[in-house]
Amino acid sequence: MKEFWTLFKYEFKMQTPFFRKKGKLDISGGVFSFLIVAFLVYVAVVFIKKVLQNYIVVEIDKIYQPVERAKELLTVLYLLVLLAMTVVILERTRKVFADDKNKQVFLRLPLRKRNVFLSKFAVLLIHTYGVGLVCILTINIIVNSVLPLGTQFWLATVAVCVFMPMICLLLVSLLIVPYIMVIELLLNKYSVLFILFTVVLAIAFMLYSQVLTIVQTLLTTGSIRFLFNSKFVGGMQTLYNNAYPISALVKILFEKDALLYWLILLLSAFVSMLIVFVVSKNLYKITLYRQPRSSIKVKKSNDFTQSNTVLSLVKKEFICVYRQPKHIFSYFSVAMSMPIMVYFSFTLFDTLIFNTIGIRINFALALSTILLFGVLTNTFCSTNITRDGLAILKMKTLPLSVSKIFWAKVLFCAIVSSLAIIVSCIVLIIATPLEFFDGLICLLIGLTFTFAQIFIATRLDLNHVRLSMSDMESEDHSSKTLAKVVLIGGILTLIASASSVFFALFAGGLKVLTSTKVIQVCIYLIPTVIGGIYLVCGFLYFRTNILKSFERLAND
Amino acid sequence: MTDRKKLIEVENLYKKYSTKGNYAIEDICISGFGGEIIGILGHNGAGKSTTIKCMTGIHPYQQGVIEICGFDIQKKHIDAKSNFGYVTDEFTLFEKMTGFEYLNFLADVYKVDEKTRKERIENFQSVFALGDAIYQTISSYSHGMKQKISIMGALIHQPKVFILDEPMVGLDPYTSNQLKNFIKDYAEKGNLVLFSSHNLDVVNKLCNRVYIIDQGRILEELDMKAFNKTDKDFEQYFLSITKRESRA
Repeated sequence: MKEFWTLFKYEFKMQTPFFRKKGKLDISGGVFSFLIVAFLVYVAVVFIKKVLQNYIVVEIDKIYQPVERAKELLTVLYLLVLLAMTVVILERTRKVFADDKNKQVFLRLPLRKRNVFLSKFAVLLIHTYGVGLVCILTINIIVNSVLPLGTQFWLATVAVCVFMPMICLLLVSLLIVPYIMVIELLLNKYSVLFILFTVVLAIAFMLYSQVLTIVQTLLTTGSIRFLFNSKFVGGMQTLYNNAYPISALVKILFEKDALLYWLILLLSAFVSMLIVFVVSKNLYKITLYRQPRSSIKVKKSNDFTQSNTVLSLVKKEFICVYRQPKHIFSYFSVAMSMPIMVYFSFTLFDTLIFNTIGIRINFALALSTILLFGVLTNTFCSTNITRDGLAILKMKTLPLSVSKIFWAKVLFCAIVSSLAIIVSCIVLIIATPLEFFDGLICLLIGLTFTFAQIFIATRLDLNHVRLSMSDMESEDHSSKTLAKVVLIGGILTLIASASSVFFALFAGGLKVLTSTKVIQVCIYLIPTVIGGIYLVCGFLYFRTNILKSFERLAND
Repeated sequence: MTDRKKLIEVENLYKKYSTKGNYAIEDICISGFGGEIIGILGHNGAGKSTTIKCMTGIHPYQQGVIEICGFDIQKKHIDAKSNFGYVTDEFTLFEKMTGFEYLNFLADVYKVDEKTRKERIENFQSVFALGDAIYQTISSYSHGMKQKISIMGALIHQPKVFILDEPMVGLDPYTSNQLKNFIKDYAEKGNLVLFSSHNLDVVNKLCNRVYIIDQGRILEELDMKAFNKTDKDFEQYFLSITKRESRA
């Protein structure tokens, strides 16, 4: 039992990065993560509540059935929760069982394999139930606040909290083997991964834009009832009637005579846990002695061409990033999806503002969206040093000046980020009413913000670097560095955008009255000046004592 | 020894890791000439790696002078670094690159022209028998293969000074023998080879001169040719002086 607890505590720490930073709590990282999650949960809660309020009052054939509508919507919400949980737990299960870098250590130690397995499985269960509990309780509290329900609802909620993670684990155990096979097949196919990540992100943002459209409708009309016509409700009813076992979960929440559904759920739970246990145990046995394939063979090359040192350094950066799946996503896919995000956000808010106040503020809006998404996209720079791991020390032994080493890193990030900004501006100029000159200014200011952020992120990473044994195991960015990068960029983006939007709205209002030349200049000038100051400060921060910080690297 | 040119000069080197702590190495003086094989011998934690890391520019140091081929490692670091190749005890390799890409990258850094790098890489391939593995990512290499690619990278520019930190650790007998022969050949061409080790047998057989280091200080500088003419046992001698110093 003692062995199990020791392993359990270790496993819990390993699977919960919040507790892992040098054995201490990463307070600032934790607070930042908490704030982001809290914000997202708040937005989701407000959105779900508004949709629910609008949906339960929908009448079909002039019959008012709020409970029926609530059941239908709850089925959809539970399905979404189940889907999200399955995706998250599927990946976590793969990491815990198939991608455990410490399994070689476990193999050498005199540990009972049963205890190793049980400790991993127990932590996985805790995580699954933790995620399930938060999601289900949040949704049910919202439902109860809109449509007050009795004690039975809350008693059944407890049962839902127990059953839902079981269903999730059942799905995970059915999918895990093919999932691991697909992941291992794709792991070294970097171009396929890049395309896949980018397409998935683009689709996700297209879906997100649909959600934003609903938000826009809500904001402009105060209601979205017209979206919920009989055809829509018919589809929801079909889903509710057929989506077992989720429908059974919803039925036990609302129906008093739901003994049959309780039995179905209990039986499913029993079978689920049996399958889950058998699959995970065998999965552990299979993966325990297996070595993951980490090799890729590159086409035999006879290219001995001599390159310029900086170009060669940039090429090295590209190879090291492009051949790491986690970096492909954060460095390339997010940047390549940025134009889509910018386009959808721009069109949405353009319509929203025009419909609300009858003024078009194309430049201010384009600038705001480009700066905002630029700041969020550029966060990848916060791993500019960390991602090399101890290999960065090799650079200290080479006949290279510190500026060359760092300029190559900055240049590599700048190429990726600039491409995203340039394409975003081109898309806006071509596909929206944004004028060429305005697009050009957006590009200029966008680039100043981008370069400033790269300078700051790189230097912050150098100051707080944590070097792992190799670039293969390099740590993800420190939450503290990321928080600082987003915070600085976010605040300045907010000031630049707000000033531009304010003067644009002011100019729009004054258009008919007087000459607005000064105000027109302010629309462009203030964000340009802020961008310029940000760039100069970022550059100075990057350069100051960089040699000393680089020298200190090995000492840390 | 074909060339007696001084290639390494370390004078009164002091290094500590934190401002308040003790010195990790104190008053280290090492000199090395072309054609020599120099060993730095000591127990674990004696200060061998720290000395080498200072010499190669990885660690900054508080006092002293380090010159490689006449260039100060701090003041003229680019010139100094152009003149040595370094194989580390930790594999500080960019593991997502293939062996070929890694060698080409280093050749670019050391400004080795196309023709020369082609000759050298092909020559290394036959000497170190890496075969087609050179086109695979370094992450898939075994310990020995990583050591080989690390050595190939350090020698791509044929430096005058070849520095190795614990080079024999984890190598199989065949690769170890290959490396020893290579070190001898390289020194015979007038280059200086300096390596750290705690393997007494390797140091005894390979080195012309040995610096015995313990608790961050050089205890003795031995001329191995002269030492081996005496009837002293090298192992016993090393243990007796390091033990004596530890007690003191």
